[in-house]
Order: sequence, then C-alpha cells, then structure tokens
Amino acid sequence: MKKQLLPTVLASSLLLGFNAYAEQPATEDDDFLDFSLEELISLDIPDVTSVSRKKQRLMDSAAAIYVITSEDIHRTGVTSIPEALRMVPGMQVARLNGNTWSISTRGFNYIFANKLLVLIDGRTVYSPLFSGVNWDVQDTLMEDIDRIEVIRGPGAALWGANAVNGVINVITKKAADTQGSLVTVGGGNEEKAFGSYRHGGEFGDNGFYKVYFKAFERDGLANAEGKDANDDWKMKRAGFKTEWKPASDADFTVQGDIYQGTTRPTLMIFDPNEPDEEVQSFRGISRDQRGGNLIALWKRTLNEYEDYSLRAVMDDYQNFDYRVTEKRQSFDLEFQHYFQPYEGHDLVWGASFRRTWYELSDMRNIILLDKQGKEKDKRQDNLYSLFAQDDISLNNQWNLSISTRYEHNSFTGKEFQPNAKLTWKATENRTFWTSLSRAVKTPSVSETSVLTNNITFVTFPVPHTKDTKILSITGNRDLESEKLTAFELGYREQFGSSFRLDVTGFYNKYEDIVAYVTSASCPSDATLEFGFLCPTTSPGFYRLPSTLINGLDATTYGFEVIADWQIKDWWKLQLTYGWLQVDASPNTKNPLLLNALKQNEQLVEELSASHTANLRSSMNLPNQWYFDFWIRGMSNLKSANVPGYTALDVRLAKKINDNLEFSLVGQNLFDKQRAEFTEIFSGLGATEIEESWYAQIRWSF
Amino acid sequence: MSIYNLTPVKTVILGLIATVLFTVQINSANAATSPEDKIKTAIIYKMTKFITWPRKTQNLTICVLGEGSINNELHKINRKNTMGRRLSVTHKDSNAPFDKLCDALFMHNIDNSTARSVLERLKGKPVLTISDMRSFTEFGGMIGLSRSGKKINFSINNTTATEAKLSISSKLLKLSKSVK
Repeated sequence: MKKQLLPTVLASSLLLGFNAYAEQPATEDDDFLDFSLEELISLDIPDVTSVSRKKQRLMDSAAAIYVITSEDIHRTGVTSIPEALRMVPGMQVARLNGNTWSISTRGFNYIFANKLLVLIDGRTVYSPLFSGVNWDVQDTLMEDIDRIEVIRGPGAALWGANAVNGVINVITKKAADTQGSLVTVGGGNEEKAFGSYRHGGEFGDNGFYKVYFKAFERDGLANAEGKDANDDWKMKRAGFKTEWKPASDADFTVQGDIYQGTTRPTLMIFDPNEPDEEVQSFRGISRDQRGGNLIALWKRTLNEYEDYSLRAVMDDYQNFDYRVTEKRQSFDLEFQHYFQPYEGHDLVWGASFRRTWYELSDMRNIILLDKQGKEKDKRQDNLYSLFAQDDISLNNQWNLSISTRYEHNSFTGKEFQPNAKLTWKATENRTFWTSLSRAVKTPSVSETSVLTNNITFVTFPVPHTKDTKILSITGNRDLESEKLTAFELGYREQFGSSFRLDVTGFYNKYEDIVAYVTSASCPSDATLEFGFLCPTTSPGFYRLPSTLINGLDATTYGFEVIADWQIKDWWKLQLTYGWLQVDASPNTKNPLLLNALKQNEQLVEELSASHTANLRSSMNLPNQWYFDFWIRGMSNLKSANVPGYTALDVRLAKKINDNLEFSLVGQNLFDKQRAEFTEIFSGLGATEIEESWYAQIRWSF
Repeated sequence: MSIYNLTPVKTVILGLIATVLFTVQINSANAATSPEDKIKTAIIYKMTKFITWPRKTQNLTICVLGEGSINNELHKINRKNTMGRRLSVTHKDSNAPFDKLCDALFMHNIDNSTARSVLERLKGKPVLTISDMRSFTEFGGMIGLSRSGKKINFSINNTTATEAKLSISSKLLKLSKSVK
C-alpha cells in the first residue's frame, strides 16, 4: 500500500482552485518531518496542477469534480479515453460505431455533444467545425495519463465558452515521472493487436525527456445482423515531452504528438449521380485522419503567492472523410497570473487568443458557404478572452469564489460568463457547497455556414412522394449562443477512514437551444413543390429544406452520487449513480414553427438516459494477483431507440515482480452484441459493440 | 513588497505590467516551495541522525550553498534537535571556509565547476556534502539526492565519507539506491 500522507496536498490534484482553505504550512511541514526516512523515500511527490491556484482537497472544491486516476485506468483495463469516461458518475458514453462516441453529461447526449469542453494538457480538442470532439483522435499512451479530471456542470468562467455541461481535462505524467523504458503488447478478439513503447531519460543539469510510440488495430464492430460491420480501425501515434528549469524559479515544458490512422465507418448517403439507388449504405470507404500538435509552457514562480505562466499551442488536424475533407490548424496563446492582492484573496486572471484556419475540400455532403450562399473552401476565426477569479477565504469555515470571463468570438461577438461559488466546511470531514453560473455554447461553423446535404433522412408521408425524404440543413448565420443558467448544490462527507459520500444536485435553465425548422427555400436553385419540398435527381424522391433557429428553452435537473468504500485494506468498492430529467419547450408562439419545434422538443427530451450507474470493485489478492470488475448500467435512450443495458467488464492480473505484469481483460461480457446509439444527422451508420477479451503484457525496465 | 495595499484598479494594472516585465523581474529569493522541496528537506534532516561526526559538539551546522525555493524549507528545520544536537541552518556563498563553519553542506542550483572546486577544498575534511545535482556522488560528493519517477531517493559515496572520518550507519547505506 502506498503511503497516504498529506491528504491535503495529494488531493490538490484538482484543477481549479475554486474554494479551499489556505493550508496550514506549519502542520504540514511537521507531517513530513515526522516521517521516517524509509517512508520519505517511498513517498510519491504529490502533483500540483499547473492551473491549480490554491492547494485544495477534493473534499473542499465547489464543483462536481471527479478524478479518474492512472490507477483507475490501469485497473479497469480501458484502452481509450472515451471508454475511461464511462467511470464518471452521470456521464453518458455511447458508442455509435468503431470510432465514434457520443459523450455527454447532464443531458444533450449526441455525437455532436457540443456542450462539453475537452482539454489534453491544456490543449483544447473541441472542434469548432461542429462544436464537438473527434474522440477517435484524442489519445495518448494510456499508461502515461496521470489523471483525467472531470467537472460536471459549467466551467465557462475559467475555461471558456462551450464548457456548458462539463469540462474534461486529461493530464499526462511528467517526463520526470516516466523515466526508464516501458513496453506493453497485447491482443484479443476486438483489440486485435496493440503495443507501445516509451523511454524516459535525463539531459543537462535538470532536464527530463520521454518519447513514446503506440499503435493499435481494432476489429470492426457488428452490424445488426451480427456480421462484421467492417469499421475496423488502425492508428499509430508518437510523441514526446521534455521539462527543464532554465532558472531556479522557472519551469519549461515542451511536448508534442503526431498521429495517423484510418477507419471505415458505414455511411448512409444519397448520391445525386446515382439517383436510382436512393439511400445507399456505403461500406468499406476509408477515412484517413492525421494530425499533430506542439505545446510549450513556461511558468515562473515568484513565491508561494505569485506566479505566472505562458502557454503556446499549435495543432494540426486533417480528416479525409468521404463527406468532406477537413484541414484545420489552430494557434493558441494563453497567459495566466496568480497573486494575492489582499490577505485572504487569491486572484487569478488571464488572457488568451486563438486563431483557427480551416480548409475544406471534396465537400460532397458538408459544404461551406459564404454569405451569398456560394461554396467556399477557406475560413479563419479568431477568439479573444479575458478572465479573472477571486477566491476569498471569509473565515475558517466559509469560502467564496467569484469569477467571470469576457470572450469575443467570430460568431456571436461578445459573451460574458460569470460564476459565484460558496463553500461551507461544516466540520473537518463535512463540506457543503453551492454554485450559480452562466455559460454559453457558441454556434459552430457547421451550424452557421455549412450546408449539410444528402446524409440525413426522415420519413413522413406526402401524397405522390416517397415516404423517405432527405433533410438538407442550411446553417443560419444569425444564430445566437445557447445560454445556460445553472444552480448546483453539493454535499461531501468522509465517514471515518473507509467511507466517503459525494452528492451533487443541479438545476439548469437553458435558453435559445438550437432546433431544426423547415426552410422556405431550396438549397439549390430548385423551386419548392407542395409548398415545402424540393425535387432531387431521383423522381418521386424529395428533400425537405431546413435550417436552424434558437427555438427551444429547456430545464434539466437531477443528481449524482458517488460512494467510495474501502471495505478492507485489499478491497475497494465504488458505486456511482446519476439521475437526469429534461424538460424542453418551444420559445415562440409562431404557429408556422410550432409543429417543428414540438418535434425538436421531443428530440431534446429523449436524447439522454434518465439513469446511469456504475459499480467498480478492486481487489488486491495474495501473491500479487489483482482482480477487478466493473458493472455499469444505463437506462434506455428513447430518441436513439436503444434499450437500457447492463454491462460487465473484468480484469485479472498477475504481477511477476515490480516490472512485469500479465493481465486478462474481458469487456461487455454476457452480451453477444449491443447497440448503444443511433442517430440520423451525421450519415454514419450505427454498429454494435461485441463481447470481447484481450490479454496484455506490461514490462518496465 | 506592499502589494497588500493596492486598489483593485492598481492591482489589475500591476498585473498587466507584469505581463511585460516578467522576463526581467528578479525575485527568486523566496520562490514557492514545492512538495518536492519539503520531502528533500525532511530527508536531509532525517539523514543527520544516521551520521556520526568525529567531533561531537552541541550544535550541528548545516550550510546551504545555492539559491532556490528549498532554502525556505531548510530554514524551517533550523533549531530542531537531531540526536541531542541542535541544528543550525545558515546560508553561505561559495568561497566561505566551509570546513571551519559547517558540519554538513547542502549544495544546489550551482554550476558543476563551483561544486567541484568546493568538493576539492573539502577533501578529507569532516563535512558531510549533500546535493541534488546529477552524478554528485560520482565526482566526489558524499550524498546525492535524485528523483526517480515520483520518488526521491539517494546514493552514497561511502569512500569519500570514510576518508573524511564520517561514519555512515549501515541502516542508511541499506536504504541507499547505490553505494560507492
């Protein structure tokens, strides 16, 4: 067992210094000096996140934070970041096909889950093209993930727009903590073959570096008939990280990754050149993706109460998809400064700038339009923002944190996102917190200036037409941001040393949610027939022109519970449960729109599951055997027409010595195959997850 | 620094100025201490209990050479007791007569040549030399602290320690990552 010293510092692995008591340095130092030398050299140096402002206990944070540790990743045997997120209470992770996931929390579960902000080592991986995340290329060496910090609920004041329903922050280990070599290899029926190599070393007087390479090949999922769906997936990735101290008070980190891969998702498409086929199912078309990124972070620490940092990020992403070829580059510059202007006040402020360049080509189904509605292939967007947070220790028990962000974006101009949080530490082991925040989801490129054509199909009867119709969606340049006002209430308590309870309730009010409505003009120059349909190259096959408006308001509410129970030294259990209700309504009385908005209302209300639950068990058995199981369940997704399910993962591992481990992992057991998601807007065919096994060897030297 | 008396407007301006000035500001004397500093300090403190000096006095002086955040931590063990002796931690510069003033010398954040010349001067003198510089024990230092993964460990050059008439307990030698 690792020494659990200094819980205050260890738990500081939280990303936000929302609220906490200033630590009592004196007691803390005595803690260290009271340890024996044996204990000191076996201690793990606690990490303090770069964005952490005040060291704080998980217990005291005024946000619904959940941390997936590297131990959790190791012990569950998950092989990707999206799969790891299934551990988070209330997080709804649904796999549409081999490499597409719908991931969301607190509602709006969709493959364009556009209300979640995702960062990897401070690099935002939120795609401004469709305001969602390309989960398939968000990867790194799983062994090198230090932790994944997930905030459910808005984090916009500190993190920026689109952190509406949550923030996911993936933090990788330092090069200094990954010295030596590590090799993992494995294979199984779904994870056909995978392997990775990492090597860390030293340079100069105080520098550390590491380099890694990983590759995997995954089998395709199954189609509804139980046959292979051909959406197999291959990927290679290499990266590095270096850290050194140019001066005693400065830290410099440079890191980067490059990757490339290919998959073959099933597409459901109407090809105007083959009108007789109507809706075709395209299989086996390769979709290649490649990209890379480079991050430089410089931090200067003047003293315990003042530091500043500067981060620059370059990112390149190229996606050669049948529907569209997208090339996107972005550059980010971010400055942050922390200091104490008055006693008891911890002030952090920052400014950032991002420029994104897009180049689109082969626009078969996703077509970028200019103001006149003509096809165009390039676009450039700028984003500026400024934020500040004051964290005030009112007294030993009460803590108040006020923060706000001003942001200027290319779509809606100025946005203002404030937030206030209050923590009451009733006793050493019992904390209550509450938070009131405003956050916005800014419109994406696809919602404002893209024509999505021939990949979305709806069915309704109109005389003299075929029942299936194409839904052509033209973006609306006048869209406004979706706005959220969120109220949260939380309670945490540590009962003795073995039981911990964490409960969060939330009530969210959304305004101006984007909805699909019919449009009065055809995307091409065709004229409307029947008053609302446009003809296609296929006789009798019609398209329904539509566009987007801020047509809905919604209320969501629910709660999430985490119970951690250390039953014995060797046995740990975690139970999580999330309950969610969504109630949407049209925000206009316009009778022309009302019918369409009613359908949108139903869609929004039925996107997410009402219940999610996880039970995870970790056992350290004699003779260095380890046994873990994970039961998870989700109730039905009405809109996706997916029934509720319960899944079981197990992992059995044997450590031969400290450096060599064998493991066997079973995933989605006792469920031959299972659909987790379906949807109509992307043109992607849904495929089904299969029961799978893999074996792995992990060797460090 | 009297930043505690500024108006909010001034503090924001100060912040803005800091963005311009950060490259030239010099203020490293009291840099923030990290958990790593605290653990290293605790290790140094504990080690003194496993070393026997040829001449036992009431005080045990630990001299510190080099600037950095760990100095704050080291000063916190000043006046603590170790094996009946009272610790005294003092900061020195590189040409101080360490052999006369110090029982132990902790060097950090100094260049290799300075470290080598200090070690040369202390050869055979009963001053315990400790440092977190790379390969410290290989070029004549007695105890080298190093980071391996998330842990701090140490290596010992017992040959130089014996030459300096310092006796290192076998328990400490056993805990050491490597002994020379």
